[in-house]
Amino acid sequence: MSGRRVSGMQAWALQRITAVYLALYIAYMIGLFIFAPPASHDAWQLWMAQPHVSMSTLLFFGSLLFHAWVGIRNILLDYIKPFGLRLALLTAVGLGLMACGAWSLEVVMSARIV
Amino acid sequence: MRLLSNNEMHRLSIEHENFLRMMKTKQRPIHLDLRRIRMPVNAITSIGHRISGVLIFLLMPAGIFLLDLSLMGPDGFATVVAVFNSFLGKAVLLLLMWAFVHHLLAGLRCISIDIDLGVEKPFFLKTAQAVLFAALPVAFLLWVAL
Repeated sequence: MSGRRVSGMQAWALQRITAVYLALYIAYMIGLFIFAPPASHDAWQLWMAQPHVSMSTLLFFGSLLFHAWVGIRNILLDYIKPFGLRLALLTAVGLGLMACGAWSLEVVMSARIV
Repeated sequence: MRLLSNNEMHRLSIEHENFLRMMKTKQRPIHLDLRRIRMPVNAITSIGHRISGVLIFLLMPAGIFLLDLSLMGPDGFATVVAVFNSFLGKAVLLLLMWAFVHHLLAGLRCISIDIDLGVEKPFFLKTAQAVLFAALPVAFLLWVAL
C-alpha cells in the first residue's frame, strides 16, 4: 500500500478473507461429524490422508493462525498500553501461533505418511 | 495487496483527518475502561465476539493435540473418543460451540455493516440482539446433534 495512508487495510482484508474460508471449513466439518462421523481410526486416518482433505486442513490451520493473529493483536493493542508488556505479549502470541502452525503441519503430514 | 484506488484512499484519508479533528475539538473522553463504558446490546455482542475469539485461540493447542492423538493409532483414537464422551469434554465442546456460533454470526454482522447493510439505528440494534440470542440455541442444537 503506497505510503500506507490507509494503514490497517491489509489486516482488515486478511481478517475477512480468512473468515470466509474458516466458516466454510468448520461448517463442513461439523456437518461431517453430525451426519457421517468416522467409525474407526483407520477410516479417520484414510480420510485425512486424501490429498484434498489434508490440503484444505492445512489451509484451515494457516487461515486460523493469520485470523487469530489479527484478532488477538487488535485486542492487545486496545487494552495493553505499557510498551514493554505489549511487545512481550505480542511476541509470545506470535511465537505461540507459529509453533501451533508448525505442529499442525507435522500432524497433518504425518497422517499421510503412515 | 492494493485494494483501493488513489481517489478512494485520498477520500478515506480526508475522512480520517476530519474524524481526528472532530475528536480533538469535542474533547471526548478517550478510554477503554470496561467498567465505565455504557454497554448497549451491540456492545455486549461485540465484547462477546472478542471473548469467543480469545476462547477459540486458547483452545487451539488442545485441538491440535487431540487431532494428533486421534491420528496416531487405534489407542489414541479411542482416547479422543473417550475425552469427547466425558463430562468435561462435553462441557468444553458446548462452550466451544457457543464460541464458534457467536463468533460466526457476529462476524457476518460485521461484514454486513462493512458493506453498509444494517447501519441504521433500529436495525443495527436488532441484528446485535439477534446474534446475541440466536447463538445460544443454535450452539445447543449443534452440540446435541454431535
